[in-house]
Amino acid sequence: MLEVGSAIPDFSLKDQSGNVFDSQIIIGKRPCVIYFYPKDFTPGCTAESCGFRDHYNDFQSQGVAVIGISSDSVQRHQKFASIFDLPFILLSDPNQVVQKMFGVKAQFFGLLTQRITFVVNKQGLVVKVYQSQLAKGHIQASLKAIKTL
Amino acid sequence: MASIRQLKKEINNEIGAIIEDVYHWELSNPKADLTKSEALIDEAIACFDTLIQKVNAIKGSNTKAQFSNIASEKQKNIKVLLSKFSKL
Repeated sequence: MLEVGSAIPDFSLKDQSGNVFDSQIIIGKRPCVIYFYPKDFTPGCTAESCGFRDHYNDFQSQGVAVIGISSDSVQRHQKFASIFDLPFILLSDPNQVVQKMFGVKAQFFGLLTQRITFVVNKQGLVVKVYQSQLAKGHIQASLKAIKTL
Repeated sequence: MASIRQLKKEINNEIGAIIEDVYHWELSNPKADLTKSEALIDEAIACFDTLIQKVNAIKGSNTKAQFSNIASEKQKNIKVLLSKFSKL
């Protein structure tokens, strides 16, 4: 798994609108929080995504982009973002290609994404890795980490 | 009477738990045809959306009756979803 100091690899995935998101648009240009989560609409993932939404201004005010990645389809992401008013980017990684690039191990017979957050600085280097199945800690850990950027 | 926040939380947790159960079923049955289970997840999401919209539309003087109607609709929907889940 990517560790503190690792460079974020280049990747591209479709976002919740079906547009191709190229990581180079953000990575290496501005800090960001990338969170991997198991599935849209499940209680833990909803709490985590809504937590990032509720603190979105704190991230925005420091120029930090927020990106959520799961194996859900573009259509599910679209519905998820719409119902919960999620203002940030959700990326669809159905074949878990990017998950593997980050070295995030799958759980449940290798099929479900783990809940892991990477905080990345403006240079595109990982400054914090936070891993916990409890959703709430990811937002607090990210907020704490971006203060050090 | 439950608060709007509490009712939303119940809808979120109870329907979310069913969706989670369907995902676990899919993962435990990798060779199964997922058409029915994916349709059930879509149905649960639609049901969630409808109930939340109804909660957001609560207004006027008879809020207790509106709460009660939504709570009973939630229970009814959950029963239907669970029944379909058991038939997967």
